[in-house]
Amino acid sequence: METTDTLIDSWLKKHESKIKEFKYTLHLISKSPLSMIGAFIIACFLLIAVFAPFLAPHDPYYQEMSARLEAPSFQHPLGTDDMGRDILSRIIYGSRISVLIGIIVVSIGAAIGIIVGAVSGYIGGAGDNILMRIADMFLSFPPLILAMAIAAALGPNLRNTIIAIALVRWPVYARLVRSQVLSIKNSQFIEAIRSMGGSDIRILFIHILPNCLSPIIVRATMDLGTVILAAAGLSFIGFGAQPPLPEWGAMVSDGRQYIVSEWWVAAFPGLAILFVVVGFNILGDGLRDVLDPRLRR
Amino acid sequence: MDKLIEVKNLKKYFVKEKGLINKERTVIKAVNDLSFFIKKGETFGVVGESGCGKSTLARTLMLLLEPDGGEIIFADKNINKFSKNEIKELRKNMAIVFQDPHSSLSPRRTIKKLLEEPFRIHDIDIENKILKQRILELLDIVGLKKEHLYRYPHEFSGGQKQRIGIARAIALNPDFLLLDEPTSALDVSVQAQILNLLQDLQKKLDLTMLFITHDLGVIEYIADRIAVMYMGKIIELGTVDQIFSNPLHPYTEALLSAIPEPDPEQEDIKIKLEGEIPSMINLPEGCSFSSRCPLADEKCLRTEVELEEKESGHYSACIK
Amino acid sequence: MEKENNLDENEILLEVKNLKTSFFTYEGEVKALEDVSFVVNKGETLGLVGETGSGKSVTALSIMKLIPDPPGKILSGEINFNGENLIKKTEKEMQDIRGNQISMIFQDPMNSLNPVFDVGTQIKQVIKKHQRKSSRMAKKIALEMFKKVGLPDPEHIMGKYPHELSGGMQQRVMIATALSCHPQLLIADEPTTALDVTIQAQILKLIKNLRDEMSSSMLLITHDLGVVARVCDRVAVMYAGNIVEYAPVKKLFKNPSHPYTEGLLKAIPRRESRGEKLKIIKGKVPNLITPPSGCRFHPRCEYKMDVCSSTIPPRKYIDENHYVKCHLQF
Repeated sequence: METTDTLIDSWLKKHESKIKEFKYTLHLISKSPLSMIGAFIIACFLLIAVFAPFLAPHDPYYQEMSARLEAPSFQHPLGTDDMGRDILSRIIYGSRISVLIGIIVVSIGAAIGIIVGAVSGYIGGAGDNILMRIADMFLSFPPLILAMAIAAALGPNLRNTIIAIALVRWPVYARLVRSQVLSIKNSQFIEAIRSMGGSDIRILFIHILPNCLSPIIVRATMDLGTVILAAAGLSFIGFGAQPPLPEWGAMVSDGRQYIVSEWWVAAFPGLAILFVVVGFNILGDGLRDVLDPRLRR
Repeated sequence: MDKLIEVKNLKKYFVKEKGLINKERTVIKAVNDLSFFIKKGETFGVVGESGCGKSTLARTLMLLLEPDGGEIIFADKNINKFSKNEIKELRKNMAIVFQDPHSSLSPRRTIKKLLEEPFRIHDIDIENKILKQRILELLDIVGLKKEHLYRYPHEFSGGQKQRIGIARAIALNPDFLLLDEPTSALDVSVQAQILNLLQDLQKKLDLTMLFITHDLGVIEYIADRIAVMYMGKIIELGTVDQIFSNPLHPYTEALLSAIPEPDPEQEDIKIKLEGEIPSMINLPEGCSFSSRCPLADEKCLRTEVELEEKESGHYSACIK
Repeated sequence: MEKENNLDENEILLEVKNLKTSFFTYEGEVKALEDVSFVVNKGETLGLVGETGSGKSVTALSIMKLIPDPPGKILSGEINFNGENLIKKTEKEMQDIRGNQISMIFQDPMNSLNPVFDVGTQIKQVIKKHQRKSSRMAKKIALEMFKKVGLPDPEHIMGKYPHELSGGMQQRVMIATALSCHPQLLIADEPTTALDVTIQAQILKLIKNLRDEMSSSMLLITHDLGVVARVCDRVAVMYAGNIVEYAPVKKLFKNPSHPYTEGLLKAIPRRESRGEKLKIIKGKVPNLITPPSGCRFHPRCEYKMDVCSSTIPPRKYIDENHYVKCHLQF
């Protein structure tokens, strides 16, 4: 008992500063209503995705042909679609697909972008020019068109959607990281490390990149929304998730022929997309304020 | 006395190019043909106003900038011919403390990590326990406490941060410590603490120091010999007594008269130097001080001036 | 010499009484000013010296009522300027006073000039706003001011942008702007700290001459005791939100009575003290969220007594013009 107490004690002492900083961050977040709302929406979204099997009242794939296009009722709170599937259950399961796409795309995009941006900003000169012109090339295509082309070339399915969107997103991170690296690389603490003989790799990965983290986090949060929207868009036009997957964009697409009479088929998945995208955006905005070093002491 | 560092005709130029088609080249001679030496165990001071090239000198000496000419000789070895590995080895032996303690420490690293850095960089084979012991020892030497180990730089005051910077600089027991305006960002009382600490360290660790500052009071207190810089050149060099009691160059004289002494009984503010510090871009052909010098005449504008020994160990670059 | 004898005969221009200002932050209430009182007479220069965090700039901003609120707040006290309490003034009334009757010069001239306008436009704007002059008149006054502060070729400089001027020239422009409306009080917050020694000497001389010529009063904020000695008539030494000593300048340097003042003067490195250690004030400036009880200086004081940690020291007048906030007997 005593030993665990002292262990905890020494742990607390060791991490006192981190805990203080964390508490301060929480305090800032709690003071910004915007990020609270965003965080709430996103938390709900993530919980729904994780606990989908327990939350969904029906099997999202079960077709009840006798109950096609039913209006919202007790049995089906958000109605049923043209195959008689429960829309609420499909939206709940669809959240898993969206989370997956969002996280995978952003991780890939950020990983490529961070490496390219960091190297580009750090080495400068011709290498920097080449890398940035490649990034410019990707940026100069309208993102959805490029994703469509890639999806069309590789075949329409979820995996290719992910690859396609990731290819479009990485230059955003590359530019962001590059500008951060450029501003940090000439600061005095980097000069100090260099004067001690620190290698370039050490300087870049231990000293520069950790200091670029806040803007990357903000960007990634906002990007999750953008990516989910892009994936839904691709699915909507038929390049992304294929039926019968309960992908939100595909669901909206399914319901659009009934939009006049049976509005719920398209409206509820559409609302789901709206909430999640707005949620990520305002969370990102809020985080930007909270993580802004100028606002912190 | 042995020389630890000798600098011969050191040059560092910055070239700016303007315009796309008709390239206009402007050359700023930030360090313009400097020669001096630093004896083992002494404190060598470099004074000058902003833009005189003293920080460029510091960075060139620390091999953070590549010199455009001249030689740097450290402990009888010519650094210019060193390989990459030899330079890394050399860096164990020379350390720098920067002016701004707020920006010279990585903001997201704890003090422990910051002080471990030199050991990690040089792959020094040392057990974690012993390393920690050594770091605690370093903290103790600079007057910080054990509980500071896991804090981040922003939790410290300016003076404390400068102590951390000093602890890091002396971590590997260097022979040479370069101090680039180490107290300029600090308050007087904190400055006094840091100056005392530096003097203690010098005695304890047998350090040779190069102390760069614009503050004449500080340099007068701490340095053994002083070089006065103006427009990228050393215009006067000598011992403290020589420089302060018998300044030979009119610029040194003007500089000394401009210090506001903390003594209200003294006569009114004397101004020996009118005008602004000229730009480094279009230096006059002759003496670079001639545009502000009260003694300047035709001859000064044309004749190139060199440091000359006017009395034993006292050099001045003035033809008057 | 004359001035010193005249000190008490002079009319009072600014009287600050028991000023208390705090900042309410996440960590708690930062008690930036505990109890600040001083007087600036007409035509006189008061130096406010202290180290980082002593509250000198907060004092200046409080007088100008420019404390950012939130988090800052003037909790109590009086600031009587020409007999009127500025604390009771509305923001609109203050706008008329700022720049007109009280103007301010800041430490960093580059940051206090607007980079997108030429300096001529900026000084003319101030003149037009406060003196309701026509453009032509404003230009004439501006040129005159530029000449007065020693800017070469004023006509030419009027069209320059801030970044085209050196630090010393920028500070001259700032001084010209600040003095263009003949303020009764000039607050100079570290006006020469960002400048080189030789330029600093020029600017100090200029400020001194102009003040005498225009018979303005001045509140000079600085950390440099050398500057104080050169320019000021009286000095207020600040420490952790209090004025610990307030005296005519010669008396303060000859006979520093508060242990902190004494420590500050001894901490200045000089050649006479070569080889020996500088006398230091041990410890560091206290955290003003939880300031030390009693005298805020007591944890660092070498003459500490029991009473120091329990009771806030009263102002003890050594003579009419010289007070010390300390429990020691003088």
